[in-house]
Amino acid sequence: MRILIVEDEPLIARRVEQFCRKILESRLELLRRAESFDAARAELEATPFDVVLLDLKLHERDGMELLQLAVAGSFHTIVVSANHDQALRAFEFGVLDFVPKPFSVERLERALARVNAPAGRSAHAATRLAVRKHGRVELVAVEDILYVEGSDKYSELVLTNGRRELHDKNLSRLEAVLPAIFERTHKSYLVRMNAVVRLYALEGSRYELELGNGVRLPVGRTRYSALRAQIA
Amino acid sequence: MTRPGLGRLAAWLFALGALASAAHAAPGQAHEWKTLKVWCGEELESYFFTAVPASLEQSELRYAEGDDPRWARPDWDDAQWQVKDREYALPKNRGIFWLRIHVRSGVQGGAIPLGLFYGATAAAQFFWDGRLVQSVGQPGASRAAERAGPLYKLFDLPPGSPTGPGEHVMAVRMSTYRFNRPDETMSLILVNVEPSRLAELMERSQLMPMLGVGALLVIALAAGVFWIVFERRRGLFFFSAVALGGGAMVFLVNVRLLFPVPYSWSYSLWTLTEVVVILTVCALVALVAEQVRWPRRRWLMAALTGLIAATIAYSYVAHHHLALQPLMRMCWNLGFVFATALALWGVWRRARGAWPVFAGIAISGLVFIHDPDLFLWGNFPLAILPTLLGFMFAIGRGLRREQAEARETKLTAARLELELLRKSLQPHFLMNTLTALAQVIEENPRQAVRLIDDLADELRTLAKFAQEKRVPLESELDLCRTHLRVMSVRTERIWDLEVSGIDPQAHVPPAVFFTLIENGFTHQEPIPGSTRFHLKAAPMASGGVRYDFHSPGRPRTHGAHRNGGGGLRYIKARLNESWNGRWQFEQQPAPDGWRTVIELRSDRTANGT
Repeated sequence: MRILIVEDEPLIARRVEQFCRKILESRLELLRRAESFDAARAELEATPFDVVLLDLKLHERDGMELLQLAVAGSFHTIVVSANHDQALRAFEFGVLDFVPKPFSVERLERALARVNAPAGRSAHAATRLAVRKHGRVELVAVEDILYVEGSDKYSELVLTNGRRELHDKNLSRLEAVLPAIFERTHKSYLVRMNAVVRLYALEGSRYELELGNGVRLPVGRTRYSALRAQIA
Repeated sequence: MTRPGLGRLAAWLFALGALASAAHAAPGQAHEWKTLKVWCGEELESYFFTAVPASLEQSELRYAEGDDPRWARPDWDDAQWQVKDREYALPKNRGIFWLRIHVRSGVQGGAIPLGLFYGATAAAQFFWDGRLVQSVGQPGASRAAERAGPLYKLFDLPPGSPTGPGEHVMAVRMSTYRFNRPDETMSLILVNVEPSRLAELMERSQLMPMLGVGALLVIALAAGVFWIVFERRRGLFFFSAVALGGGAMVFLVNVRLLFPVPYSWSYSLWTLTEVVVILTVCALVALVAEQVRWPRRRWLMAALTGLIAATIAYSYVAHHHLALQPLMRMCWNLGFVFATALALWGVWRRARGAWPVFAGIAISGLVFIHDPDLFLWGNFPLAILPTLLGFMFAIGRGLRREQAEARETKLTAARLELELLRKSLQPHFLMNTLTALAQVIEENPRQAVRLIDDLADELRTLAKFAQEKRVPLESELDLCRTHLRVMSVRTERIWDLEVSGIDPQAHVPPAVFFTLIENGFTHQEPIPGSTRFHLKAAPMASGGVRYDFHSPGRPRTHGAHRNGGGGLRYIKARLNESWNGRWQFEQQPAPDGWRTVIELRSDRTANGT
């Protein structure tokens, strides 16, 4: 696992680092520390990380800017902060977990465990997703997303108005932060289930689902039965 | 008959002086007859003597010093007596002397005159056609022998007095040993209405002024009690003084018509009245100055009292005595000129409550200009009412506003106290420090103990400061240094505070420099090698202290929080609470940091006294 720790207090940064090493042991591929907003951005542009452990002063502008930048990235974001009252706000933007300071090694372990869990979901689903667009970050309301089409590296958010937005996270990482109403109907699709109106069993053991707007999407063979039961 | 008419009568009586014969004759000459109508004056006659027949006439006034009972007889030859005209003042400290006046009527039937109205600063005995009809005190040949009678006396001729057609003689035996002022007063009026009816009307005419006196005294009392018990503000005191003075003035002016005041009290009464008028006028001007916040009140009062003194001096020089009624008018003239000018200044400067005050004074001033005598004698309570109402309105609104401000101040104080407590329990600071502490415990237990001590010290001081409005600078600096020690451990940089020119015993609002340091950590990125905060204090030429605070570091957010952050709001609210407008706060970027200048102007209250 590749981890970036964003923390301006050296003692705390050292503590996070020590805990990460203790928890992940050999699974830790890379661990870097950044003390400031600019240093963190430079690290993120230079190196692909799996998870960013972010200290946020969320009541300040740079904290919010950094959070949006982080959640728009391809990596997972775990906030490690003393501003406990801002936890829900952080979750709304799609962070994987919020670790309140002071923290124990067990609490940090639970947060890191979500990163690679097969069906790992955030403690609270996001209500907005940050997407990078023309060099800046824009927010997309989760309720406007109809389905997500994914590839290995990134995903495409398809909105109810037909607009499409690219997201740096892959499908699995988005699945982790989106609400449970989004289900993986296919290895390449995350679909809002209340938008599905019909299922089709086609020749050659192919299956499809139809959305309210008439769009038809492929359904994985292993998912079909469960979906049929759900829609019936 | 109208009430103003009776007021005029009283004013007229006072102003007229020695009312004697308007006829001019020389000793040894025959009488010069003149109608009674002229004797009493046109204006007065229209109120009292509507039925004076043209045939009723009076002679000139004849005067002789000495005492002879025969001088009362109607047939006594007074042709050689001295003739006195109306300019004549009664001789002072003299007695016994006699006055004789002849009255004749051609009217058949009916008693003419019906009665006499007498007002003089003398003891007198009245003889009608040789018969003693009334004693007003007891004339005497010396001060000891004289007994002062009432200043005013209204009486009718006893039944059986010869009042038919023909010539009659009224002789007055007098002495003035108790006349103790350099002024002249004598009124001698033949009344052609029933004296008892006139007396009733005169008493009734006093009803309104006395009701007014009562109302003014109640207002004065209410304001005075309010001033003593609730609110020691000068405006209320002066307001009470104006109402009290006005009531006293009306009472003193009118009391002689209600009660048999001895003529020997006359001078004291008028002097007292004049003193009351001067004080009331001064109180009115002081009240307006207080309401509109005129800055140089001592100069103002000096100018007013100087002008009043000049008026008194002029009155004495011009009249050779204190003409008190003109003097009272002059004082009120001055009072209204000053009060109106001040109120107008207040309106121009948009002083709070200036408009109602100006409106009230303008209305009262117009009544005064319209008829100054009536204003002083009868109408004062009604005429001054708009002024009092204007002030009541202005003072009432002022009190309401101040109460609201006081409530707001209390709320602000409570909010600030809470804010400081919140500072000490700020989760971001506390949780980060505890997280750092957890690491220090593992790395360096000895340093961890020191950190715990410093943290506890900081929390204790902040909790203590929460209840203070001002704290010694020394305590504030201790708090700052404790905080810097905590931050030194957390950031692994040695932070310190360098001070110069400070007075450790000076007082500052609590946690102000502490908040500036906090702001420095929050909004500035440290620059390597620059970890020293600076505080310089310097006295200001105008009095007070200027604190110049330098916070090292590079702005994180290009000053976005510098103007409206919670820290700055806290500092400004604290400065306002403790220095109430006598402070200045400025911030600007400085080389390698951020500069804050706080000026605390000196004032008695600013030092916590």
